[in-house]
Amino acid sequence: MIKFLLKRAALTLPTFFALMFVTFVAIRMVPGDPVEVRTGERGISPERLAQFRHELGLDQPIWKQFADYVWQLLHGDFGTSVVTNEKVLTEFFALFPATLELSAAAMLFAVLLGVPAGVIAAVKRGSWFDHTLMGAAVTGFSMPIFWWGLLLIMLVSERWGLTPVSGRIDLINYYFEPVTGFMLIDALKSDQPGAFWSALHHLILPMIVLGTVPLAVIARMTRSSMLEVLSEDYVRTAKAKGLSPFRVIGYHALRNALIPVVTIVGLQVGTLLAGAVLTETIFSWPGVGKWLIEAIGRRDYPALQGGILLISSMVIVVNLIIDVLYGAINPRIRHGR
Amino acid sequence: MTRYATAKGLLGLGLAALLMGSTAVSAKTLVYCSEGSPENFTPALNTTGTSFDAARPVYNQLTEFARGSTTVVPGLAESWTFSDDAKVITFKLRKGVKFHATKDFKPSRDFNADDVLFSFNRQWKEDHPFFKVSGGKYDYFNDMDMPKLLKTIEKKDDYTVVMTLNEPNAPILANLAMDFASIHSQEYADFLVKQGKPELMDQIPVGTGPFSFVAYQKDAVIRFKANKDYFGQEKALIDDLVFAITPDPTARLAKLRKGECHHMAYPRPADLEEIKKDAALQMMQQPGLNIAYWSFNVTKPPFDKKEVRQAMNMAVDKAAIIRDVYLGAGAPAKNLIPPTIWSYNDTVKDYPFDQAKAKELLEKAGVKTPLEIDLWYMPVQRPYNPNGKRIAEMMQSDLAKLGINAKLVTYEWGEYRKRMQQGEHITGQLGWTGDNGDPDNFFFLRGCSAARPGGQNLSKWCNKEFDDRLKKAAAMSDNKERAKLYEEMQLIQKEDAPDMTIAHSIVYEPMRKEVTGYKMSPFNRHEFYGVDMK
Amino acid sequence: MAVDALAAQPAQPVPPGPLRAFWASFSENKGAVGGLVVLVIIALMAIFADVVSPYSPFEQFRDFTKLPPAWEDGGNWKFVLGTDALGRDTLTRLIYGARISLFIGVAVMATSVIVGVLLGLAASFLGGIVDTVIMRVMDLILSVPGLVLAILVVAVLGPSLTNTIVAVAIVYLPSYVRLVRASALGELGKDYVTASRVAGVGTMRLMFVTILPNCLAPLIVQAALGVSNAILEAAALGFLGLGAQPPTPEWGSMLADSREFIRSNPWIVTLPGLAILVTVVAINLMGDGLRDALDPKLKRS
Repeated sequence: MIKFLLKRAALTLPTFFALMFVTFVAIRMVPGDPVEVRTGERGISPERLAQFRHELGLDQPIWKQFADYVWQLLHGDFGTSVVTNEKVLTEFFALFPATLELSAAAMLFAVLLGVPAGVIAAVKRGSWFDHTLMGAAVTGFSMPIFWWGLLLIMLVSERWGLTPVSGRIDLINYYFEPVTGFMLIDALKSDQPGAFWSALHHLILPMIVLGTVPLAVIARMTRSSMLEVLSEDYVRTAKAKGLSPFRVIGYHALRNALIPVVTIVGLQVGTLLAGAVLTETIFSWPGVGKWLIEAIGRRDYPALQGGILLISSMVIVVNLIIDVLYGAINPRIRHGR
Repeated sequence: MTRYATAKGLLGLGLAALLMGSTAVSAKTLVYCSEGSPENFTPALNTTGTSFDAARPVYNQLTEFARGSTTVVPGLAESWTFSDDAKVITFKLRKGVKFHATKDFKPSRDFNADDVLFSFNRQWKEDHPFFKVSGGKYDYFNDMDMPKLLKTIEKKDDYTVVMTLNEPNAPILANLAMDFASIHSQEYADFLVKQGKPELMDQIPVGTGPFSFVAYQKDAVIRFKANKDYFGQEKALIDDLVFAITPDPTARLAKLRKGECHHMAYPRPADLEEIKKDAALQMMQQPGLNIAYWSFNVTKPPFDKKEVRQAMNMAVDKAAIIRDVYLGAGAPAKNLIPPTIWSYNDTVKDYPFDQAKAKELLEKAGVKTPLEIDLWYMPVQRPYNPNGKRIAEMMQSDLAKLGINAKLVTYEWGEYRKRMQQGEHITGQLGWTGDNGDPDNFFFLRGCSAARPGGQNLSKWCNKEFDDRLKKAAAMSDNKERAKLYEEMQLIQKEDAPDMTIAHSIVYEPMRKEVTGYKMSPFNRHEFYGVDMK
Repeated sequence: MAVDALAAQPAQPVPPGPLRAFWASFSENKGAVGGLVVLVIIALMAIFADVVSPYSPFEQFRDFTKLPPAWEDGGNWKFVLGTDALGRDTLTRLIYGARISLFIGVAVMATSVIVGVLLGLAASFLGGIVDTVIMRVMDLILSVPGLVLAILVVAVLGPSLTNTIVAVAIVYLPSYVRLVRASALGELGKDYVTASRVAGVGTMRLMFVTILPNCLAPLIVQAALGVSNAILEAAALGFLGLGAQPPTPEWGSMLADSREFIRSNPWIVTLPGLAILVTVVAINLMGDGLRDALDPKLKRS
């Protein structure tokens, strides 16, 4: 087991290094530079421009810049944002909890709704529920979520006044220092009455928007994998033995049907992060997705580089964990390799 | 855990309802929906209005602009005197002014001359211990030519500072009222050095202003509270000031309408009608100190011919642009300066929208159609131009009717400006926002010295008649004489048509009805001292 | 007995040809047929946009800006779905937009399928270092969230229609490579491949003629879904202002352009989004039908 784990982990190292190199080069190929961008109509004198480029190390040959960067990274330094002069790592982890909270909520929403819906659809195959659900799932799966978000804000928040428009908590009535950065947890810890509800209330709409695509995928996946399992011999046997349908479905079938679903949930992590870029933009959600887009706009090389590196590492790690989990659930895979 | 959360939450809901009444009475919180995150809280390091707005509640300058006007009034300097040759200014500082305290830092002394010296030397002297802190780009200090202008700044005693200039400069008092000249605490700086965290200087601001800084969460919220010891006449009338950072203008408006904030920055022109109709909202407006223009590069044929440039002016339907792009948040511009700046020449006649005449002029100039040109449009929204792309699409469509095929071109913003300054474009949009209300601050944009490659004159137009007057006016002190020259220059510019002046924007600020005493700043500042809530 | 059974056979109907069998099973799925019909209509409109659409997509009716659809208050039957901020006919722009969006979808799919097949086959046949390098690069692409990668590519190359296609194709490349490699590896171990090898069939021929056709079914399904994903991704890029450049009537950028009118004139924003949704749903429904028809294992379940 440990050998398998180490082998898989070792395989990701070159990926990680290549990633570092490719993003580094790509980012420097983006036209424009961070000093020029911030000056606006006024411009900047060539002497001062040269001076700042020198201070940022931008006048060095690219291989030298890369070597310096790797050296820094090995010392745990992801560089300093050109725009705010804050450490990239500090900025990232100040914003990341917001993204994580939103993504986790969206995933929870998708699983809690998607799995039961998929199971019911499979059990009642061909019923109106099945047809409606599958229709909805195709629609959800096809949803341009930037449009979906705008539409929901317009209807739910504005026309019907059910949810707040944007932000993470009611700023007029509640205030507490962030401890964990997770608004829900901080709100609970703050002992300010109602803060938790306010935070939850603010989370609902972005959660639904971000959770729509995973929800559709999970519902479909659960249904089809459930259908497959239901037709297996051992389920038929269990049924024939006279076990209660609830026990057959809930215990025997579901457990096996969930294996592919778990994989899908894992695979959705990348999708979630990409979706977070759009969702955060629409809801002014202070997370890393929006931050990355802004970094591109401002040509904030260190932030962009560090951000992509950190996010991708997380995706790599999550995939690794899924591989391992999958191997644990299904020993055939582990030994097969 | 979940059950605990629910129980606690339910309890909280009840309590919240109970407490709601009392909190509303005891603390007045004004939430301002701002458009973005500040880069940091030291204005000298920054260039954007967003960053200035976020630092302004905390700081004062030696001189200040009276709230809602361009008039310079005493700030941390009570009074000042000029020497006879106007090169030496002696500032008498205000006594008994307290700096804010933070969680860790408690000021032990009042504001004095050391703080003034610290604030300027940090930006000026390369060997100053704080010069390099936070990147050390002091754009405004350099842009306003302070290093050239300043000879010395000296402390005569604790409450007297003497500033010596290399040459007389009348606008200096206005310059010192700008954000970059904000006064920081020397004692706080020393304290941070001792703590080994000098960079906190720019992240946890300490000043003397009407509000003190409480907390900042990037991309989410900035909190201030009223400074009870504030020295100024106009104090903070609210208890808490909150900036809710909301980049999307649609979301800002929605929040304003729902009462999630009380004042918002930069509404979308498309939403103005709706705001006017909302009984819970009020809106202020004033003309902006800016210009949007469309430059013709006179070094590239056929735009070296005056007739062609005039034809362009007649070919494009300016009224339609104002109507469909500015949507009421702009006024057609016939001169480079807006009508609110002195020396505006109202006798200048703008070109009419007349495509038949334009065609005639083109033929006269010997231009054969179809003519291929490029039309650069700005990739970003600016105060003077809400949508460069849409304006370009309208121009393109108008030009197509004359057989001119305009190719739309754009680049990333910094790149865009740089390439245009090099003169790579044939025609292109840009604009300007004034800093101090002086006509020269606009007209230099068409001067010969700015027409060099890399200069700000995007038409690369060098007209001797225009340029002679520009230079002469800049050296004169009598504004009446200057005005005459500027008026003539506006006629010359319109006739020779190096550009098409598109529009001056109109700035709107919507707020809820319960907000009282707000004043719009001609410099587009958002200031909340002296503002109350009903 | 055996003889009897054989004798009885001629009485049975001739087994249907593969295409007919496919259609029979495809048409069982009503959703898929519906999707196909809608898609064909959209495709026909896109192809014959010049004939079908009432105006030019660039013509600005300055006296009729921001009209709502004809059935709404203030609508005008001259402009059935209303007009945009510059007075361009929305219906016309949507029809031309279908052309752009479908083109993007198909172009992305074609690019990534072709490159994906080549790389996938190369990886499975050549093995060793080639395989490792190709698969590591694909892992690399997969590790960056799709939209972020696309944005980065567009930022490097500059925003344009072509670069949108390149960016999105890169994002979707790994799934094809992995798919082709996996199914090719699966086929390689089978007897008929060994037999062909023994018979002296060349590697090229083995790759493209013997093995590729046997990997086609999952590839076609994936490609159909790839078109819809590409349309969505390109629209998202357009929405962020990084897609097709003006005045091209691309749906995503139409949506982004009119985003400011979401409060005052919601129709201008709603319609392009709806167009994207309908098209993508149609393609996905059809893709589901394809999968059911091509993958007998799923069909029977």
